[in-house]
Amino acid sequence: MPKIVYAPILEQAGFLKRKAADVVEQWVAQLDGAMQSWQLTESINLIAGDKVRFKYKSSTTASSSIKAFYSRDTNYFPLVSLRSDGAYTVNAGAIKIDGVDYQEGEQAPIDGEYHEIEHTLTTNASISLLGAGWISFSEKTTLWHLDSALLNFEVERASEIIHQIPLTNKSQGATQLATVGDINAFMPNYTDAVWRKP
Amino acid sequence: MSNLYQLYAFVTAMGWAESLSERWPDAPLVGGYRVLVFTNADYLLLKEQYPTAEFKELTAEQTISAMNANELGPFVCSLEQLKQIMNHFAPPDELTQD
Repeated sequence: MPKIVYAPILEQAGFLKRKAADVVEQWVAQLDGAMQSWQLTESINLIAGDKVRFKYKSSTTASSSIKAFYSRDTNYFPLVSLRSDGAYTVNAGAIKIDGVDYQEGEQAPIDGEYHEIEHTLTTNASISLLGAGWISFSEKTTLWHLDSALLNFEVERASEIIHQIPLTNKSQGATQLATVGDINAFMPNYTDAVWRKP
Repeated sequence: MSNLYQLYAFVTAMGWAESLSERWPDAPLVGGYRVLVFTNADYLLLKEQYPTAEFKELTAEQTISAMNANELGPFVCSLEQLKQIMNHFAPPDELTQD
């Protein structure tokens, strides 16, 4: 008897059941704001025109210290960060928050919800650190640690996603694998206690 | 699992180099001490694994004083205490901007 590979009419009638797609349970990693961050396994060389996107969970109070979302491979050089007056600092380009152009000095959201930042670069930049800044890139020492969850990091070039690291797979632990591209992210000083439900 | 949280311990840089650097390779250097992170679930196990260590749970101010006096540790603290202690020993901000 020939094997039926896929027959929608039989499926609709209840004679066949499609195999359920593998569902990866979603988690977010809460960075501690002190010594945890995401370090890329290799630097990503961004070029002018690239769009970098990620989501983060906003605080319920305005930031009173510098907290870097991601940083250039240069000492003391965050590309996008929260600053101590509750606004964002943006280097090497401009950002949109949830699809809306951000104006210098505007306060960052403080609703405790997830927000998407899209950074469009106007210059080339090499990056390898998310959720902190470098004190010393060569010695791999960090500061300005983000005390929040950062997820769905991706880089778009010429309308194509070239890097994507969801940072939401609890079972992968300290090293989160890319879903697009071959650069992964590693959390130094990782523990199992970082994971939260979004 | 919902009761899992992180604890931190300051240990001497020498002690870290001798026996802890393999387990905590990325422990940052703060005030001449290395900072280890572990979970509350690990804490009892650590006490069993390092039976000669005297785990000291002090206030942030007491920990800073003990570190300034080069006392042995390890000094165990919460995240909030850790941030207070790190701020005390923090390097100056040198934010680079375009």
